[in-house]
Amino acid sequence: MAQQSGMLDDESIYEAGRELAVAKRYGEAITVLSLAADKTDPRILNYLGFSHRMQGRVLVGLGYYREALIQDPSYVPAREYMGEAYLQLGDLGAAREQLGQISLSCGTTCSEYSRLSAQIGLFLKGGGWSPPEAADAVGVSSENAL
Amino acid sequence: MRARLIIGLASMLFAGPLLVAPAFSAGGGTAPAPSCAKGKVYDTKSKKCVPKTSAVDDDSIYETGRSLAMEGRYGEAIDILNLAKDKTDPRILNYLGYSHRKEGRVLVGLGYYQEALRQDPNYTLVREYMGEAQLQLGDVTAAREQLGEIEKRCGKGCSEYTELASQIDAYVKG
Repeated sequence: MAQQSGMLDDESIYEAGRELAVAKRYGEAITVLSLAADKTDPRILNYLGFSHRMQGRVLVGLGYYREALIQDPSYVPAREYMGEAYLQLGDLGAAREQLGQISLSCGTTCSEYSRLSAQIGLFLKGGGWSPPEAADAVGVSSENAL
Repeated sequence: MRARLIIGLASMLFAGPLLVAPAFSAGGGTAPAPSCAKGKVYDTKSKKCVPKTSAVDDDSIYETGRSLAMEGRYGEAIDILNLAKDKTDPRILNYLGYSHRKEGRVLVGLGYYQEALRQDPNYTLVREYMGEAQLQLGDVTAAREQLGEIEKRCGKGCSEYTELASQIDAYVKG
């Protein structure tokens, strides 16, 4: 397995890991993303966080998001997911704080803001967090959608 | 294009190990320490280093991962520990946290420690390492909080207490 790490560049690893995570193949996503040469790439850290969180290890997920944000505080996809993680933990105040941080980076019309805002709305209505239904509703940031 | 890449990756990563028959070394002599060459894992049952495959049990993965981490081979430790079947085993989470922390990703480390403590709040070794992580972040108060939690569980005589206490002392003295 180790020899694969030298064969693939981090871009391919990121793309494949993201696709696996969005397809809910979280364990495989973690395996692929762990192959990245640059362990501090916020995009890689973000999808490691997402995959661990979706497998139920919300605190591990939060750790990855925090590390991603240390690397790049303006990386709003990590803030969106971090807000979702806080909703999973029932911490509405912390989720709203991330929403506020997102608005400082990209305003209130970027997709990260709208999605987290909608999740908070659902949380308030339903009294809890539930994962977004559509695969394309998660994590395809505006830059990736281009 | 992208789909082909994923299928290629998946077959390399997940089908590959199944094709590899366990190759036991024929050498006799004394039992090796539970630390193996890159790509191998110490099998506690056969007491040999075997190629890392999904067939290796979690105890062997834990032992090997811990030895690698203790030797400062953090990247390899993470690779091995990621193979554990039980992703909620606090021992595995603890050494994943330790290895990420020692590679400089302190916040990732903290996340693993927190998850380990969620599984087992009485796991005082995790609290010791977590206190060290908090010192790395300059948060003496949080480190002292962990010291207090350790004291509640095993007193002031256990090694987790004395080690974190001396780390805090050294930090405060500067």
